[in-house]
Amino acid sequence: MPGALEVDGLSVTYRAGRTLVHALDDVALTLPPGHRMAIVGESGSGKSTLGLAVMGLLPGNAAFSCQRLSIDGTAIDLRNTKQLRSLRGNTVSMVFQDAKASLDPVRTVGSQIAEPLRVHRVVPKRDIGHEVERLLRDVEIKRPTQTARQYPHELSGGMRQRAMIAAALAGRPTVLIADEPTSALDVTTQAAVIDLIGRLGQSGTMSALLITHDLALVAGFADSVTVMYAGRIVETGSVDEIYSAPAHPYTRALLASIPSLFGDRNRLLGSIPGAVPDLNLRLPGCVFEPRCAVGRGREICRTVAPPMIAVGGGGQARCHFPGEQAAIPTDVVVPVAISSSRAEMTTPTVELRSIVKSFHRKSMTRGRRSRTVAVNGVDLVIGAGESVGIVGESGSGKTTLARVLVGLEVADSGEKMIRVGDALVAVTRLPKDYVQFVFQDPGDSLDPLMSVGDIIAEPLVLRDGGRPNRYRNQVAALLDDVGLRVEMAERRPLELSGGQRQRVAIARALSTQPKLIIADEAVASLDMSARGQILNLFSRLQAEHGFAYLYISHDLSMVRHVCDRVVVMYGGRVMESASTDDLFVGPRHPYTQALITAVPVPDPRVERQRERMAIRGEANDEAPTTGCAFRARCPIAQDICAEEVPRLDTTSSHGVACHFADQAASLYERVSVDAEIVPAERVHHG
Amino acid sequence: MSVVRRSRAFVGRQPAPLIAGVVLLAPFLFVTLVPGILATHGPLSIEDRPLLGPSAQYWLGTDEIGRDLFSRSLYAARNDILVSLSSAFVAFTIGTAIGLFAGYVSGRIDTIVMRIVDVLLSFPTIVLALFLIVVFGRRQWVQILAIALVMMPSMARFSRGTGLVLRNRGYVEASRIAGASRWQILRHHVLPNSLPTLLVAASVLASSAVLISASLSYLGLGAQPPDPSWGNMLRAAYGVVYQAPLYGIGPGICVTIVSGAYILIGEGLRRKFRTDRNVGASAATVGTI
Repeated sequence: MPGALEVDGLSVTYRAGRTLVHALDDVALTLPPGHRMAIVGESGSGKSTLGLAVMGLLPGNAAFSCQRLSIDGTAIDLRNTKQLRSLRGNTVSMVFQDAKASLDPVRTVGSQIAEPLRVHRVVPKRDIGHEVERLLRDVEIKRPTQTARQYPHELSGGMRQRAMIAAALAGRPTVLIADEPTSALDVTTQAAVIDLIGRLGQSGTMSALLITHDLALVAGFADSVTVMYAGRIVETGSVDEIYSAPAHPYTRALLASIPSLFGDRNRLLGSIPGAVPDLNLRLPGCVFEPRCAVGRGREICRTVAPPMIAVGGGGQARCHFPGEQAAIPTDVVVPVAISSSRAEMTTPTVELRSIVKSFHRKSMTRGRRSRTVAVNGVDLVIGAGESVGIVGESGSGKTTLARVLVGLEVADSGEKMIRVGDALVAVTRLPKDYVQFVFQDPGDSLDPLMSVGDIIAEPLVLRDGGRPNRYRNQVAALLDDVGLRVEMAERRPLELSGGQRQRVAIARALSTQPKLIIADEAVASLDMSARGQILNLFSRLQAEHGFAYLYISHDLSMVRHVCDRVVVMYGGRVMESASTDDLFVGPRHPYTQALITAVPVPDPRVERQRERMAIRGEANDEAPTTGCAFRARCPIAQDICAEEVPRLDTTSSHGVACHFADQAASLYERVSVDAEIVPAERVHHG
Repeated sequence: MSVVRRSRAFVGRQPAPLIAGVVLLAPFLFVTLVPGILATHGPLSIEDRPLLGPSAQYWLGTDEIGRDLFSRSLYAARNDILVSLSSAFVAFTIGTAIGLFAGYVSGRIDTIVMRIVDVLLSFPTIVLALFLIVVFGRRQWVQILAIALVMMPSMARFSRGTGLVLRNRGYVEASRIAGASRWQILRHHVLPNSLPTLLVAASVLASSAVLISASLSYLGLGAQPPDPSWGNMLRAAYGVVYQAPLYGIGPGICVTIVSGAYILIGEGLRRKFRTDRNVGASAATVGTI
């Protein structure tokens, strides 16, 4: 039986100026009919190029060779544009990362879903309207007739992505390729969209190919997983094999770098030393050798490129020593050095009281002013040396709160207090060196024209004056602190990798020895292997310097790993605030519960049994201004929720702003009971 | 040898329009500095009969009182290049300062400053310049400032956009958190990072300055006879177009080449900087100036 998609000997080279970038090198892949496969890799692994190549959508500067490409048993000639055009959107179709950019803003959603129907004459003309509605129902859109008449900007992010999927399904494709379909979405929406693609792949004869960087995301989705590295497939196998007994050291290292929702959080995250290699060089030997814990220095790994060899359970791995990696421990449980005693943590470094911040916006089309309350009366205390996490979906006000704290936004009302000696003093502006910020995108937060040394010295220059050269010794010490070589001081940000840039941003934040460092999604833009490195660096620096952290993130497993205390925000208000252990073991707010159950767990057995806490709607939906902000999406909301704002109980260490917290807690026990019993730690201990 | 090879390699790396623009502009810059070397005759001396056609002796012929047209065209570059470059420089400096500041500060100050700029922008270019020259006299520095004033608003508008973009960059916010003042941020981050885009805009300014300057001279408000400028030569040519149809070719071509060369340099700079991520706003919008 022929595979739905068969690729053999596919190589792609991009020409960029005078350099050749070998994006794909001899890739072979077979996707059986009705099969769901995940392609996982970091940036530069070639995973997106593979998707584009199969669609015949490679850009003009790409040269390729391909021994065989067949879809449904039919051989495809990648140079035959006519044949490709008849296949696209018909036999093969694709869902892109950013539905907002992929949908035409001036045409209705329905007409865009109808396009492939018309082009490929899937159904007779008069049936197109019905077919569009049927497709929208298939992607679980509640009111298909209404949605079809709407424009993309009228839909939420998740709805848009569903509409994209509906358009991709219109031609009744044999193969559906989804390239990072959820990375622009919130956690709860992401879970729903991945579940949807999984169900679609399961129900019929369609095969689904999900391209992603997030290994945790696909555990519950895929039948098999293909891991790519530096343009090559390094391992393929069934989903259970990959997660329980990865054969390639790279796969294993990737798995170890995912912070877990369960198990011991006092361990260092696994991380892979170094960075993804330059793809313009072709070195002999194994591409992963320079970063590998198994092959390090071995003659055969440095000189001979390993072939794909069969490993147990029907998988294949491109490694000379596939069995050996299991013997090497990837994670080390370290008793995290508690830098400050509990007593010290209770003395606040910073305290915010009833902060309110709103934004005025003039609507271009309707000409009226609207006021959005981004932060609505939030109290926040950060103790000395404490790590506090703020979690919430987009629009929850978490970033605005941090910007108010640091002084980038001015609050409408509320007080900011800092500690001076033993007393708390209200201030309007924080002292220059009291708090520092690490931004999400290090490519944006470092001035491209300045040298790394000048960037790191900038806060010192601003505080103490003088020229950047004066601080050369301090810069060298800071570079060493964040694990960069001293020579880096001469480089420019553009010459560095993402992880290196974030280290520079951290060194800058450290330079004035602040009391508090705010990290706003500081690892979200980094590759999986770099995330582990940076999070471990944060932990080490805190143990050494004893400052407090405020982590702002949508990633709950990351927050669980690094924070002492977690604050959950929704619609500008605090929903729940508790110590990390209390919060993850027994969340009492329905919103927190929904967030936790939406986090993908990198273990297929857990994912299959898990139940998600179902909540309606999406994060971007307008939160009600009266009563409980969450009530429109809450599964247990009652009349009182619309009338009375639930108060956060500040007397207990586990505060919940919900009228029915006890009811929610017992509801959660039913949902979570299965997940708890699975020994997820086995993944890490091999 | 190695210097030759290295400089050849350096030239080879530059975008083609930049090379073309510099090559076209170079002779004019040269004659601006030392007109006497290339000119065959003096600019003011009456050599022969009026309105002669081109010949071996007078390459472009003679004008209405018998002066050599080729030499006068070259000497005119002295006036026109000086006026265009200095007015573009003044417009660039003031416009950029106002625009970047307004864009970076934003809010009410931005609104007030930009409304004033909008008022200036709404005057027809030539009419405003005419008015200023009539009021302040027909001196060269008045001409330069008048041209600068009419071009300044568009430069301010453009650089305001760049300032607005850069204001929200992470490195600017990081600098604010570290306690930098507005002035420090403008000097150390906003100006350096907007310069590549703004220089491209400046080249477009220089190009339109040549045209404005020629138009003013044509209307009799630029360099005054007997001093030559391309504009007043074209005006003279218009008067005798039936007797000497080739009269206007020399100054006309000069205006075209010089303004074209500025545009080419701008386009070359745009391509050169395009690869950098630091270009604040899309350089395509420069074309709107």
